[in-house]
This record gives sequence, structure tokens and C-alpha cells, in this order.
Amino acid sequence: MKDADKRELLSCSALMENLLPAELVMISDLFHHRDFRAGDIIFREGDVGESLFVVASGEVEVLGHGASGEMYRVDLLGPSQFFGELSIIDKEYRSATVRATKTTTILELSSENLHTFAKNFRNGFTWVVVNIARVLAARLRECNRMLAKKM
Amino acid sequence: MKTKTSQDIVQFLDTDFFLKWYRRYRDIRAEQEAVLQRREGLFSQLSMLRFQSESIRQKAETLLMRAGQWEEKSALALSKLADLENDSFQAVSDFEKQRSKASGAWADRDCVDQDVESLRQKIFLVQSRMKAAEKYHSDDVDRMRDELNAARAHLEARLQQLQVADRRMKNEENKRTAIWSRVETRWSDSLRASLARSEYLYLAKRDRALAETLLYSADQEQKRDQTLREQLKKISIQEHGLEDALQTHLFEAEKDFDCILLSEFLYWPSSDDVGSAYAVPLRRDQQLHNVDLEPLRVYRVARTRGVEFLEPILLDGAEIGPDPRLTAFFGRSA
Repeated sequence: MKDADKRELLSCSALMENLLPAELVMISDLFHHRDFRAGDIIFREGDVGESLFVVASGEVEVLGHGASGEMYRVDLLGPSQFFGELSIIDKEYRSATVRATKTTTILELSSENLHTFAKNFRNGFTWVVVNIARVLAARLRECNRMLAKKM
Repeated sequence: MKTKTSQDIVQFLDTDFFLKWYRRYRDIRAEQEAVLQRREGLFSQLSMLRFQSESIRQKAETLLMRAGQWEEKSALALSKLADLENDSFQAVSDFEKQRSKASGAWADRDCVDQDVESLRQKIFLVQSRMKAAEKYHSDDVDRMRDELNAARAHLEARLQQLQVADRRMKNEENKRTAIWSRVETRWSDSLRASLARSEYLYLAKRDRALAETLLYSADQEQKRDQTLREQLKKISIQEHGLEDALQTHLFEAEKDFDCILLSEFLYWPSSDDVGSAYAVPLRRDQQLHNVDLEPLRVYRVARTRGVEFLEPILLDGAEIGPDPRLTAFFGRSA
């Protein structure tokens, strides 16, 4: 994958909102691309998580486990959407399984590469974290709304 | 070896001196790739050829073995044919004898039959004459009655003889028919054996001819195998030549560029940090590193970890002063 393509794609992601061009250049360099075929598991619930991912092309589904062990789809993510951010923040195990539904290219940012970015761009790093927090806050609001509806 | 800044390295990578070296490096690598591909192609051709040749030889051997089996069957058919021919001569001779016996029995029976017929005519005649004599009260009636009784007794005896002759004739005829049937069976068996001998021989010839063609083809493949092996030898010499050229080229670079060059990275010690060095990859690799490696880009590596972890370096420098984005963000939050 070409650097320019990577940068263009990441610049559209909510994860990179408000980053300066130099920050975007560096963080793009720190993303590593990986290819998956339809049905490939990107990670499983319970795996140790040390990376976050942005969908470059294709599509992935986020799968949860029901009480009796059956899998159900929680979400479907397409280009420029990101996932796997929880483990990189709380250093816990993966909370869901993510699987490619078609031929998919993913950009992966490891915890170590994010640290490199943080060392070079403290403010840029802050923005990445703020962007993650925004998405998490939106999800939390959505959960609260759904819970309130059920109560 | 002198320490360098990232800017020094970026400027050096842009010089004609370096770029000329790098073009030659790429040419050698490209030639190596081409030679490697050619060698792999030849090697797979050779493997395929050997497999084909072996398979052809095995097929030829199978055919030769089968041809031998056909020849054996043909010889057996020939031997069986001779036995059957002898047998059929014997059967024909037996038939001739039996035919003669049956004819004799038929003649005997015919003779008795004629006798019976003439006795019947005689009885009829005597009866007629006796009736006439009785009508005219002739003295000959008693004599005629005696004659009639004698003729009837004779007829009775001859009728019994006729039954015996009839049975004998049928018996002999049955035997003749049975022997004829044996003759026909022998002839049919003999015909089958004769045809089998000829057809098995044809099959043996066909399999032999096919096996010879295959063996010839296997020989040709062996010659091609020889040619391919010679080509592989040449390729191997070429490969060694290219590897030597590459090593010389790398050695010269290490000396001329005042850097460390092991195989695919140029390294310079960093003037900013004694614990790190700058690494410049000579080839692209988007698989096995923590970042997607681009050739001729400058990365920072720790002395202890080397290329296990590469950091892209900042050419424009890090942020300076307070970030207005944060001010705006927190200002907005407040």
C-alpha cells in the first residue's frame, strides 16, 4: 500500500480528526498494513490486545458471544472506521471477536508504534486519545439511551 | 565511523554519488531475482521431466510385462490347438467307424423289415387261398391252415427280430450323433485356440511396439534432462558471480559511505543520541516489520533492538510552543 493512499485514508478516519499534516505523516508511517480474506479472524475475544485497527478497504464484523455461546453480530465496520481501541487504552483482553466479511485491508497501529508517535508528537497523541474518547463517549451515550429505553 | 544527523543522511541519500551506487545495487538485485526465478523455473522443469521420465519408464515396463503375458498365452493357445487337432482327427475317425456301424444296423433292420413284409404278403395270400378252398370244400384247407399257422409263427419271430434290429439301429445312430457332436465341439475349440494364438500374438506385438516408443521417448527426456542440468550449472555459476559482485558492492559502500552495511540496511550512529542509530533500508518490506518499510527512508533504531523496531524520523521537527487546538478544545469545554 502506498504512503499517499495510507495518509489519504487515515485523514478521513475519526481517529485522526484535528491532526496536523506532520502528525498525520508520522502516524501514517507508523501504521502497518495487513491483508485478510473473507472469513479470516483478525482477533478473537480474550486475545491479548496490543494494537488498534483502521479498515482501509473491505469490511469487518464485530462479533459478541451470547449466554449460550452463540455468536451474534454487534457491528459492521467499513473503510476509515476503527476498532480494537479498548485494549490499547485499558490493556485488557479483547472484548469481542472481529472477522473480515470480504477481502479486506486493515491498517494496524501497535501500542509500541503509538508510543513512538507520542514521544514525537505529544499534542498529536493527545488528539488521537481525545478522538478515541469521543467515539467511546458516543457509544456509552448510545448504551445509556438503550438501557433507559428498556427500564 | 562518524556520527550523523538525520538531515546529513537525507542530504547524502540525495547525492549523485549515492544514487549511482544505489542504481547499481538495484541492478545487481534485479539480476539476482531474475536468475533465481530462472533457476527455480529450470529446477521445476527438471523435476517435472524426471517425474515424467520415470513415469514413462514404468509404463513401458508394465507394457513389456504385459506383452510377455500375451506371448505366453499365445504359446499356450498354440499347444492347446495341437492337442485339439489330434483330438478332432481321432473324433472324426471314431465318427467314421460309428457311421459304418450305424449303416450296418440300418441294413440289418431293413433286411428283417423286408422279410416281415414278404411274410405278411404270404399270410395274406394263404388266407385268400384258404378262404377259396373252404368255399369249395377243398381237401387242401387243412394243409393251408398249417401253412398259415407256420407263416404266422414265422412272422411273429421276425417281428421280434425287427424290434431288436430297430433298437440296435437307433442306438448306433445315437452314438453316431454323439460322436459328431464331439467332432463339432473339437472343431469349435480348435478354431477358438487358433484365433486366440493369433490375437494374443498381435496384442503382444502392439504392446511391445508401444513400449519401444515410450522407451525412446524416455531416452529423449533423459537427453533434455542432461541439457537442463547443464543450464542449471551455468545459472549456478552466474548466481555465484552476482553474489560476489553484490558483496564487493556492499563492501565498497561500507568503506565509501563510512557506514555499517550488512545486507539490506545502511546504518549510521546518531549524533543526537548515543543509544540509537539511523537505519536506511535498501528494499521495500511491508510484511515483517512494525512499520511498512520504504527503501531509502530514514528510520531511527535503538542500538540494542536494531531493526526489530523502527521509528520513522521527523524531518520537519516536532511541535513548538502551545498547541492552539488544545487551547480551543479546552476553551470550548470550559
